[in-house]
Amino acid sequence: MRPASTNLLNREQATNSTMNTFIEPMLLERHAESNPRIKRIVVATDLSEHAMKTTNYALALAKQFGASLTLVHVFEPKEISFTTRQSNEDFENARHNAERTLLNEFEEIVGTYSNCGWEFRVGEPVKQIALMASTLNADLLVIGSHHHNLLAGLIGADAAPRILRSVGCSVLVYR
Amino acid sequence: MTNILTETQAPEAAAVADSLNIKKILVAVDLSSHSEKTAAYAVQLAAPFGASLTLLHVCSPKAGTAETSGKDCSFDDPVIEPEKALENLAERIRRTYRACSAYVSAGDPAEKTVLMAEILRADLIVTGSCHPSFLGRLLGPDQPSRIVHRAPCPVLVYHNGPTDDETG
Repeated sequence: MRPASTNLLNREQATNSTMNTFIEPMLLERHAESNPRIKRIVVATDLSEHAMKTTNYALALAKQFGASLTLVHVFEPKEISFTTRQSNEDFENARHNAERTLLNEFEEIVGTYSNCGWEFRVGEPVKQIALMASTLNADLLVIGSHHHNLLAGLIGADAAPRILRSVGCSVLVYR
Repeated sequence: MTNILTETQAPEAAAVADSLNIKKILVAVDLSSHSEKTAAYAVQLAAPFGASLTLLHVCSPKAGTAETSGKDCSFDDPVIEPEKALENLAERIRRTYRACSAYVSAGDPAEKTVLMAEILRADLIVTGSCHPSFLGRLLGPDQPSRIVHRAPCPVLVYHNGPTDDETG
């Protein structure tokens, strides 16, 4: 790697380079001087310890840019071949516990930053997170990524790449 | 590479975030039309933190920019045009935001971006979004996903509308 500027010192200035023609005059300057466009942040949490760090990161961003913050947790039901009364109760208990945990996290955050909300969804996480980002018209979706090993990447255990392909807004992957 | 750290010192922050310490932002660009907006977005992010910006463009062998055979290409003519374009972009950023430097590298874009982030000890990587075709995803993951998978720091993948089909 080398500094681009250093290597340009003794070279002809790029005045009519075809590589430069795409740049619309003043577009960059106009964007750079405008206010940040981060007004609605959605943070997806799986309620893990790492997710708490992700949420805190999103919270700090929201405070910095004066953006709203919405915590989203998607409860993913396990596939079952048949239902029994016990399995229904287990499902409801797990769902209730997850919702309660999310609410606790929200209450902790809203004590320090009032411009926030929460959404609890049931379904396939990637689809639901993308749907929530779209529904809430998010400017930024913040997600965590904590599967560092190669195997996880190969089998797709890390949802981050799938979310990147599914959402229509900017995505910040916290590591 | 040894002087990168000194060249990218952040200016005084206009405002300091409560708990975020974003002082070095690496912006990976492919010099497509989307790069302009990605860079502008990065400036907006950097300003409140007083963070330095480092633009990085990696000449990919697959793009026909160099014959590398798995090694870094020698910096000959194939990278002159990207170099000029990158420096042009950096120069225009400096008109409104001075703490900006630019670097060109060659090789695998994701690998080099991650390497640069490690060397810089970047607090954040910003790159453009990519929505490759289904076939493209089958053949291999897109660059932003690969960067996300290996990055040593948070990665922000900038998306600029539903019609984007280019990396930043």
